[in-house]
Amino acid sequence: MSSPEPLVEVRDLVKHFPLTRGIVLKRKLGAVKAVDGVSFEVLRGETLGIVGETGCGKSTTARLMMRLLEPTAGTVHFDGQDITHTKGSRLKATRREMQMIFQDPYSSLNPRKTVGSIVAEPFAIHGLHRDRAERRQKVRELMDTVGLNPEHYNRYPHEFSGGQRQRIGVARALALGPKLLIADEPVSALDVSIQAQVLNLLRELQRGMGLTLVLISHDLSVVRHMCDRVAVMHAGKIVELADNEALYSSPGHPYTKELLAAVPGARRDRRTIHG
Amino acid sequence: MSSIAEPLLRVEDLHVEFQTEDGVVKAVDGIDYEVGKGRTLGIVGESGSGKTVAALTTLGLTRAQGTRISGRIVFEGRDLLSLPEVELRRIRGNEIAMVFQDSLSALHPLYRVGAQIVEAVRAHQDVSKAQAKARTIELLGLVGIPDPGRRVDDYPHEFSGGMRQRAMIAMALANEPKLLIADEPTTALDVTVQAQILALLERLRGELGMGIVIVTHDLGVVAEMADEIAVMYAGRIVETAATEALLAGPEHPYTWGLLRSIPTLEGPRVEQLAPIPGGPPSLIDPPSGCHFHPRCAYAQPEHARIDPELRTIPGPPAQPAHRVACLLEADVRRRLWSELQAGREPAQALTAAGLPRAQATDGPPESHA
Repeated sequence: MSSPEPLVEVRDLVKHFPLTRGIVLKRKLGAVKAVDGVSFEVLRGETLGIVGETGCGKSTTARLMMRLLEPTAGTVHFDGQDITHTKGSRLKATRREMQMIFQDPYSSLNPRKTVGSIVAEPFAIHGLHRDRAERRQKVRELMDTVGLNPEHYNRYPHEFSGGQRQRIGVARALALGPKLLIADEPVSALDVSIQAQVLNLLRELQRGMGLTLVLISHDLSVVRHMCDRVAVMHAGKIVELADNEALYSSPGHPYTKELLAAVPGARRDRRTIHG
Repeated sequence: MSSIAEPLLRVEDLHVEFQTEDGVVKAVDGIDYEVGKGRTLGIVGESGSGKTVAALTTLGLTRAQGTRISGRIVFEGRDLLSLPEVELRRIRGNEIAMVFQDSLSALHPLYRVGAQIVEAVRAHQDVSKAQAKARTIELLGLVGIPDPGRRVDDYPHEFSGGMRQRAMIAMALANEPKLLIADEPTTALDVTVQAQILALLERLRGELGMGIVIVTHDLGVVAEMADEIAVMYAGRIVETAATEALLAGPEHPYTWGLLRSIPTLEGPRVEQLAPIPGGPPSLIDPPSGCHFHPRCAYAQPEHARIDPELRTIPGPPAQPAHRVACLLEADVRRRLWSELQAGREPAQALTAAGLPRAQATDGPPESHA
């Protein structure tokens, strides 16, 4: 099902945030162990889900994978290369290959820029498609890909609904043709009826473009719907990593069972069947 | 279960309109509902469907210049809409209490959590500060805050999201209200915390015999909590029934959409979710006819002209009545829903039900700026 070499390989990743007191003479009081020894692989073309509660370290893990944070220990390999300590232009080149979709479509788009310039921003940063007409054409194509009307090129984020804004975020993430897309709670700020639109879009794009997707969510049903494999995080550690079917039909770890039991609506289905 | 004769709260033909620069927003456009003692009503809808405005209006919190409110909100025989502000203040937080959506912004960041609950107690009860504080500690314990004697002096930022939500509930319960209105009480919370909060509300309803109105966009939450569900769309109730009846046999295409767009933990993993196309309509200039018709896969040409009424569905009488505002024939609706449940696409269901293909809009329509 998958090619032998994984796209991302994370080994014993650790991120501690120091707790300090004092402004000039910082005394270290201890550390928040946000990610505490995490190892996993992301296979090419798969959708890997990372679930867990607030504060379990799932977003920190994503930021470490993207090298938005510096790990305390451990290694991250991307596409066969050790990117744990790459810097400068090489890091910039690597970042073209991996993109992120953020949780809140209201605060992750600059309100004073038009959609066209938001989606074109990655081109500007990486110096691609310098010709204006060409850049414009690329942006229109991207908008079309994610189901936005390309004519709305000159509109501002506030003129779009939440679901459409999230599509803008997706278009921006796709601009550089990344291999890896990390979506951090991409639908939790959206209405249920709109969530399905965005989830379907992500799945279509993943299939159509052969993307590898890491989906971070606290919503177990969303993860079940989208992912091939699921990692359950708790207190900075992965407590269970299994195939979708296996995890949901026979959860191995007590924490996974607890999470599954807490989902409302799980009881609803049973009620519906009996009633 | 309980007496249906005199409901705790009866809302009749409620309209709430806001005057804005762009025009009149009809946030609530003629809704009726009832909540009995010890019963839970779930109001479900997307953002902008008017569900929060309906809840706020019950407490007189939408009264302001430029707001037009009409209809009746009868609480224990008194019409809240005609009460002067002074009398409403005696009811608010005392007999009717509210748990607000965002606990971080609903609590004052510079006052201790305990002090804010003490204030709520002393606003309605003639007790000493020490007594009020003792009551506050008791309340915090009741909602499951560990070590309440110490945490009572914490500031809101020292509480986690779940604890703040519990503190909000403690504050709402301070004066043992007869009716609790909870606006998205668990939306920002983790599943495990959400389950605890819902269990807490359920327990308190049993212990105190409160009526509860729970406002949410999450059908999973109301399915768990509510005895009755009202589905709101564009300021109106489009379907209402007992929870079991609504989940077993939903009648409105919008309710179908809500149910089918949620991935579930049980049942087969479907390939594609079936989202409701488009986004919520403008409440300034709502669509003609049935407000849902531009997003409805089963709309017929005349549905753009005729505005459907909320009618009781034909069949054996139910208590409460199952009512729906849809122009499709009842047997057609049932046929469509059974086709959808069998995994057919809306277009196939239409053909099976013998209806012509509708001009359903695909993709999101343009937002109203």
